Amino acid sequence: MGKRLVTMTVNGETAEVAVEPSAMLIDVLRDELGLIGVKDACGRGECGTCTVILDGKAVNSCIIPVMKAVGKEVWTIEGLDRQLGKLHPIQEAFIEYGAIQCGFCTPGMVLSAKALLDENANPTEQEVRVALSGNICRCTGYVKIINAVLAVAQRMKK
Amino acid sequence: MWEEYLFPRSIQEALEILKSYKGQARIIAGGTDLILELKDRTRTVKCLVDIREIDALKNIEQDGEEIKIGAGVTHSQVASSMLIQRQATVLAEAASVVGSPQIRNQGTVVGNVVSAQPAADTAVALFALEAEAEIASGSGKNLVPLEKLYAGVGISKVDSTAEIVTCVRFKGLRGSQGSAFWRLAQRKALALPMLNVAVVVTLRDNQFEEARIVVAPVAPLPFRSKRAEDTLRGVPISPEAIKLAAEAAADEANPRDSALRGSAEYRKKMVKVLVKRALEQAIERARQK
Amino acid sequence: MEEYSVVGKRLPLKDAAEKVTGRAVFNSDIKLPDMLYAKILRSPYPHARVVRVDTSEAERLPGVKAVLSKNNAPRNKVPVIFGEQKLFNIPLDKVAFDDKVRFVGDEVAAVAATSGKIAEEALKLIKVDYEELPAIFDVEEAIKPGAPLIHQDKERNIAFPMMIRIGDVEAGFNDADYIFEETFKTQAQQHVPLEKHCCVASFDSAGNLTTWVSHHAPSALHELLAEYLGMPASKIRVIKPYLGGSFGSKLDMHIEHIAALLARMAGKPIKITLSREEVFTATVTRHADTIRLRMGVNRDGTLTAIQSYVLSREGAYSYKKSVLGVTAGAIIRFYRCPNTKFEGYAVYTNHTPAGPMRGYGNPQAMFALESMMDMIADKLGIDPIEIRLKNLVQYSSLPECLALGAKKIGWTERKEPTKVKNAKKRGVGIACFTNHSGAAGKQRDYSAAFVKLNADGTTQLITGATDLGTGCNTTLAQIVAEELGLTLDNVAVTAGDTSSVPYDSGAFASRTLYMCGLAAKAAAADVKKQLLLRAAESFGVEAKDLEITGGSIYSKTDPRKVMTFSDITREAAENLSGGALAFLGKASCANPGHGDSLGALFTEVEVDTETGQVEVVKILAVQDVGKAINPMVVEGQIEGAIQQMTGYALTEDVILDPKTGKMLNGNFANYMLLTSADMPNVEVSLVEVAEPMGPFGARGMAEGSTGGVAPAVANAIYNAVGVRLTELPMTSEKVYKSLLSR
Repeated sequence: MGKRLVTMTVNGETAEVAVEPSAMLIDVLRDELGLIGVKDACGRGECGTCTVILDGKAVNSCIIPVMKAVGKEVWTIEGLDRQLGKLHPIQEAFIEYGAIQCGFCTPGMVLSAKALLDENANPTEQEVRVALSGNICRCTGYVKIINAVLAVAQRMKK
Repeated sequence: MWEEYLFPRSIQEALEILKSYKGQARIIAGGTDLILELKDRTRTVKCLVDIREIDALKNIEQDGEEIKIGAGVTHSQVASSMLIQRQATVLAEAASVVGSPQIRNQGTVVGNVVSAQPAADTAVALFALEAEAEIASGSGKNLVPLEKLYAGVGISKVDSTAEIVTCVRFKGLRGSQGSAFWRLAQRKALALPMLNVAVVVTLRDNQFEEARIVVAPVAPLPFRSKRAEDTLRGVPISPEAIKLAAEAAADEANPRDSALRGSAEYRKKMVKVLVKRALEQAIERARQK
Repeated sequence: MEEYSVVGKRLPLKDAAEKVTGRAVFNSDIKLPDMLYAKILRSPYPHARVVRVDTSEAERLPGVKAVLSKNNAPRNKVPVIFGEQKLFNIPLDKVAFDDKVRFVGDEVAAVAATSGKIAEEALKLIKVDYEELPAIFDVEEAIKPGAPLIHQDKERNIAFPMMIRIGDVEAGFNDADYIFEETFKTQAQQHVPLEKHCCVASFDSAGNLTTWVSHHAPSALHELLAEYLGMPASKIRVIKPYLGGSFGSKLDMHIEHIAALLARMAGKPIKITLSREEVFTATVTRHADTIRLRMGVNRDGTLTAIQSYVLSREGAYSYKKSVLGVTAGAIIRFYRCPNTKFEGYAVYTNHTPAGPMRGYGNPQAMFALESMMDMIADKLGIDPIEIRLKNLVQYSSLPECLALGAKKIGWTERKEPTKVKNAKKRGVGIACFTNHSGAAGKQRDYSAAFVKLNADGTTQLITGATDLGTGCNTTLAQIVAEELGLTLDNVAVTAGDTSSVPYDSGAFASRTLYMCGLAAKAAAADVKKQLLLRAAESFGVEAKDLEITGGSIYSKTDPRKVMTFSDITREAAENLSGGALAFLGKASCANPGHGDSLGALFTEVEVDTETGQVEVVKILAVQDVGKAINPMVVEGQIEGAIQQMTGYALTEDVILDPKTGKMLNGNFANYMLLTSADMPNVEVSLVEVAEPMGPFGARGMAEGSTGGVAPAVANAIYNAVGVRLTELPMTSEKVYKSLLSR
């Protein structure tokens, strides 16, 4: 069983990388592409910490075979500010509203928030809570995270 | 964990790959259950056959009265489908509470049936819709009622190394029908259910023409409480009738003691509560139409 | 409260951008050249002698570079962080890779290999002969003489007893008009830090050890490693990069010594990352307690006697005597009562060891105490807030917290439980809570800091503080900035590296902001003094005639006399006639005591009387935090504590296999902590009564509300449906059963 060369679009750029056919997306992103912003907390798709955006949908990269991402578009947290050349409004709001404590859940949380706002630019508080319900946080109690996401929605409306 | 990962472009191609691997290749859709089994080594496989690129499996389709959900359709797609929300409300509700948003984006409704877990949310709803599965294999296509697909807890009669469930299909709900899905769980996301109840009622004037009442996990597969359904057939709608049906369902249900999700005694009692609430809501919805 | 320019402001964290872009490097992101990966073999039995460990086949597996077991591991006891064995004369009880295993998950061997996969394969090749011993799981059974002994050097399964007597409880009970008695049970809880425990250890060719740790107390760990490894501390460097949460689970030496031993054996860097299941089952949990509480009360509601008997489940090893001490302290001194007796035992059982967890003995105590206060109020027909006010200790700021909260939640409207549709009933409850600022008198509690002045007038705070995500790298900088009249940007922070920062006892007991803040403030004041002296000399005035603001020094009497900090440093540098010194402030502070942070927690719940499900509709926390150095950070701490403790109250539990004591729900899927969809509506109100001993009046506050949630919820349930739950967590099944038997 050897590695094979595959191509995918990661954070807006073509990435050609050698992978084991049975590798999970998270391992390829972290170990082959150096994207340490994709965090590993459970390996079973049960906490959302490893969330990335694959073809526009938020998914748990620890249970996505890398082969599912071949030829597809993947966004990790690193893509957000690198693409814009500055912090994404969601990132700015997280900072401003105190939505970050230890920071370990933050990349996944921001991406879930982005996936929500890309689909629903004016969510209710309940919709925000549900959209983030697959991302565990043990530091913040989610309060300021929810506030930050609602604030971004307000701002992006204007 | 596997040596090869393939994307066939047609059902035929997929079946040929399965055949060539002689039981060592397996169908994968979303993989939310399968990947964990492979990680835990409760299953081994040489090749995974991903159905994602097969056009015939990608959609929710309406065919006359029938609704078909292709094997590649995710819980998210079903939850947000206007068609499903209107004509199979119980299924839309079930799909919207599976796992978490990430799991719903990846996992499929058909996969939820094939994983054969007794309380899988969308499977429970599909039972209430009297859904059938279309299965493609080397010997052609077969239409099989869902309840025939369960061999045991977590054990499907579908052999995913040799055949493919291409879709599930059911009759969309008509004007005189209402449905509801109720879940009892320890938290609102990322939780397996303590109890799932799915109900479809057909009303005529002020009577129950028919009711379908599904409860889980109280048996190795989603359980239709025929006793409860019988108490309602042809009976005028009343709180008393609902109460009797709920009691009958609780009587018939046999949940197990679970260290993680509640005692048998408690869950049996909750069957009555949930069936009552689901019936009340389904009736209200049928009447609103 | 004074107005400040930097202190008291809702400033974003200095490292927020690093975290939100995913650039922050945590231990698990560290990769060193030639690094090996280590895995630990764990006991499948709750209690057994380890007769023989044969690692020969594992050692032969290609890729395996080092194997540790009882055959070659040091036999000295593993020291614990607070040095409690020396302080309280309690013997250490753990040897790494011992002759005995004492819980399912206890360490038996460790392997370092070129990949994690190979290390795991190697574990399977290790042959262990166990001789199973009878296991004991129930504390009431374990404490009996003749029960199977878990630690051979003890006579019974008691890690230590704790007896405290004040006044005369018998007389107190005799005097009482009413006596109340109840047994409360609290469950073990898991911290669930999102970042799994991870450690990297590397020796250089001169035998110096560098280790990257995810740990609360690098300075203290530094000492423990030196002691355990038999090395001088000067040859050890402990680095704490970004840390992904801990809440107490990373306060002891769980893997750091193993990594170091393997690194020494293999001659290569070692990384150990625990699996999520290991984090759940093989680190520590909160202490599960059985508390028998008896209180004597006068007709008017004043307390005459408090008697408590507590069995605290230590599990297989005892990490912290102080947890039971805090439990005792809360029961004894939260309210004014002349007669109290506390009898407590830390009981060994064959379970995952109990250790420090946020709140540290307070949640258990307050669940019992604050539940019983409501029981008393109910029986005597006294308002629950009234009865607390009657018994408060004199100097408390609780009356203000209680009054504010009562108004906000609509306390006086709560009398009649409102009936909502579908057999759901609402109720309102309260509970008080307390928080110390550090552990003065109980643990080593001191902190040191340097403040370095750069040539351009900006500064560097060099602190032993440990930021766990708690924001202290920002709030401590705010303190320095305020002291020196600078903006936050002009204070950089060096922390988390024992080779460059001075000593700090560690992040526990809510001491970091308080103690590291005192040290930082004093170090900044020291620099300020040096600056003022230099400027005074330059202006030809006295230092007391000068003031500092906005990075400049002014003469109070002659406004034309102004020098910026960089003017002063340049003048000092250019003065070649000698006497010029680098501007360096230093301070070393011991905890002066004081600094209690009190508060009240109000909650509204909705009970579904048909299912027993309890929904927490709203939580209002009112806490006297002294001066909130950064209100946004302070609120975040309270909100986070509420997430943890609402789970403690209702859904979180370490569910154990009755036959093996093994945790059955050691994963995210089955450990029921709250998601964003479950989180109640939370409001935080900060009361700021300055603590004179604290930096700018601040108090240690981050653990306080942990004590208030469970009893407030229990009291609200009682208000809603008239049932009193005395066992945590208050699951829907338990509530349902209580409703049935009402």
